[in-house]
Amino acid sequence: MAEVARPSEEFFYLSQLLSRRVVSRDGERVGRLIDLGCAANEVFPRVLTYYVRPGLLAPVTLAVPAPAFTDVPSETLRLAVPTDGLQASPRRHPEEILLRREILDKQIVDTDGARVVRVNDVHLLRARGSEVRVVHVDIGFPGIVRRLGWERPLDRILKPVGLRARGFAEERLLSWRYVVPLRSGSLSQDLRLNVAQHQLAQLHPAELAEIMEELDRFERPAILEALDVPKAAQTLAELSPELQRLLLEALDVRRASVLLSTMAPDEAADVLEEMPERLRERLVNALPAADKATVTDLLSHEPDSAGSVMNPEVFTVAPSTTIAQVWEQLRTGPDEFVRGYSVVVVDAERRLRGVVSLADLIRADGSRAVEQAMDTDPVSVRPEDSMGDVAELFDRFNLLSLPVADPDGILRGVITVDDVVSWLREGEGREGGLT
Amino acid sequence: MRQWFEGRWRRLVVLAAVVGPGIITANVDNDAGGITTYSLAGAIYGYRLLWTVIPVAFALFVVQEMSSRLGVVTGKGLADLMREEFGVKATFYLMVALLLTNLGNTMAEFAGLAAALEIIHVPRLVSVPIGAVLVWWLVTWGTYRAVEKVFLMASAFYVSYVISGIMAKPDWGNVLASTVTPSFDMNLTFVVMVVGIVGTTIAPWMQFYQQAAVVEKGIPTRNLREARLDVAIGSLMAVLVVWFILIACGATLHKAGIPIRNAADAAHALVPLAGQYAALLFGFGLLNASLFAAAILPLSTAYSVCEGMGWERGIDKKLQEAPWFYGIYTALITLGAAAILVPGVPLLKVLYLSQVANGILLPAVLVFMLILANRRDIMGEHVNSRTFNAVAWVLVGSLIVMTLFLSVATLLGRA
Repeated sequence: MAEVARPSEEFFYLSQLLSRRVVSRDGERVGRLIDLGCAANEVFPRVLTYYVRPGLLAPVTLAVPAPAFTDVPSETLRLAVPTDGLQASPRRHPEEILLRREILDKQIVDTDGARVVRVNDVHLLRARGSEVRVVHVDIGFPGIVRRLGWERPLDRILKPVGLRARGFAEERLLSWRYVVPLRSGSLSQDLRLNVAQHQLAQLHPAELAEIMEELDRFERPAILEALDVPKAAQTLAELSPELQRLLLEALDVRRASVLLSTMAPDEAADVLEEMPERLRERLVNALPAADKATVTDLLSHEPDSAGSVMNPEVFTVAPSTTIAQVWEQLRTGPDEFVRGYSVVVVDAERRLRGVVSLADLIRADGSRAVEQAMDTDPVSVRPEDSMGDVAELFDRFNLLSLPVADPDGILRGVITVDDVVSWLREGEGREGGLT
Repeated sequence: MRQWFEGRWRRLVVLAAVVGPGIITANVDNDAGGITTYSLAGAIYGYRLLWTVIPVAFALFVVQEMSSRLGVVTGKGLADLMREEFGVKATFYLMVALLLTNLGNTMAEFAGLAAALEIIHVPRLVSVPIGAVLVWWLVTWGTYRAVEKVFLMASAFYVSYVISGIMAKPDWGNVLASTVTPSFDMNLTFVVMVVGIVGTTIAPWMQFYQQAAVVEKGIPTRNLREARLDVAIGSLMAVLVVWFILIACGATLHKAGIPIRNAADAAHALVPLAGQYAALLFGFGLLNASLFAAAILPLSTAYSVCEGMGWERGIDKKLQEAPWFYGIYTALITLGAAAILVPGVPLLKVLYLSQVANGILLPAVLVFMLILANRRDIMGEHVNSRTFNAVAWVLVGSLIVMTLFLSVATLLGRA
């Protein structure tokens, strides 16, 4: 047989390889190729195992470790190993991802485009002799045309007019680096978790929430499990109430309570407020004692009242604190301290004494006490006031934040402009709107 | 005692949350084409075909229960499952057949709409465009919950057939006797009529729609029993409507020997026999059914096709994000409505073609569903039981024979 020179590197598609006839070294029929197992933890997974089915109804599958064939890809795959060394393989390797069973025709998360796409084909690269690696997934229309077997007939028809089937729609290949497989179960396996977590962590919670909307009820919890707790909590907060309910019902109560207590209390209360009573009770009871008290308090307020929207965890200073001390606390404290662009001043009984804006703090003399720089008669509301009124105040006084105090003047919380915006957005669906 | 009562109450609450997909799907299949078939059957054969509602109800339940269970257990749509388990080739050709069938069905719905409103002298040049826009608006603007409520209400309007059936003053003893005694003629027209009743009641797109609705609703596996009850209630409601249409036409048109060609004819002919109101109710039922199906069919088709091919889909997407989805959806409504308005469109030819595509599609869909419902790696413990399988395969086998028969008969121009 004459040796044909082959390039050292070559791209080809999974669909061109699957169902190919497999023959022994002597040319005897062994079966057909049905799947490829790859090293899931590699950036561009190497093909580790070729799975061959001896007959259409054969109950066993043969596993052939790579390099299995004298030449890949080719019309007929000739085994490079003796036939009697092949093992029937009912159990798969735990580190393996199966290209046909778990990737081809399945939905995956494209972390580059932050969306869910369907895999039309898998793009493979043969490099350095017989090593085969997964490099891309094909998510474009030409991939469908190729798999339908229309490419050649179309080319033949189009040839006289000087066109090619491929010219009509652009090939869309997505690098494997951006692929997160979704097949249920695949995310929970430890080895893949690291890879998947890393890629998912690149996405914004809002993007993750959008992706979640596309997934089914088994894939959604799997994605949430693959994220670290703060990211998972933020993502949960971004979801629609409907999906929040489905997820919180599906999640383990302990996991759910961890996520809820990681959110800001007002966010957690927002989520819980939309849940059916039974589920809400169960979740609130599972919260750590401190969070439970705060959240129960928030939930006890009428829906759409200032008390139900406010954040009860407020950064406050005493009137006698010097401006320089406030600067220091703001500089070293967490981001939440400056969420409302102002600092609330309270006395020892937590009575509201004033509010000082960040702008005034920056301009003020550091040695003076904060009470000399603050607005001593700030706009404030009571917990039972309606959010309609609150929104109006924000509009009229161009507020960024607004303290909430009870009739005795005790500070209960703060409403920030982002709370008002999300309340208004939610209300777009409500009848009547604002008056 | 109190505990028992509370237990009952809780089950009822759960049922209310699950109910919907089965009832809507089963009712929507009494569409314009279905009502025409039942009217003809009643007018030509009187009460003789009343017995068919019992096997039809049974078949409807078996098939719809399976599709509901697939949706609940897998959380995936039917096109999605087919693509994942049977690959792109099978899915693509199935989707082409689905598009063809449902284009024909959509045209039939708009024809039904035009005919129903012509009874009260609204010209089709007015009714069809308004209907098309209304359908487009409802589906693109409503949320799933809101749309579902409108649809459930539309399901309730089918009661108009029950009322017009009662107003036709049938001989109830005779009606009940005919319902439990099968009668059969071995001639082609009779067989075609029987097959037609079954064929219009069990259509391939229903499987896609019901499973999608179940998934959309997110019904969890522990509520499988309630979902099954939903399907059972839907199947009963659907055949009850068939029963009353057969009765209404049988008690009047058949007795008086008045020949009719379609459902609108039936409504007209009812005026002197059962009174103005019975006729109006009959026409209103046709209008409701046509609009209802015209709203669901194009949407379900666009959704299934995009799901199978992996294109962006859903009414919450922007036009630029989901061009295929909106393209298919709009094309179905536009072509469906245009076929009724533009003179010279070979409507009958298109309907024939769609009937043939249906004949290819239904067997494939049912067989795929049966395979999926038997896969333990997909369904876990909720695979078909042995008894269910025996019943289902016999049923699917006979449905396949009937549908192929109807397709051949249609092609030969006998139906």
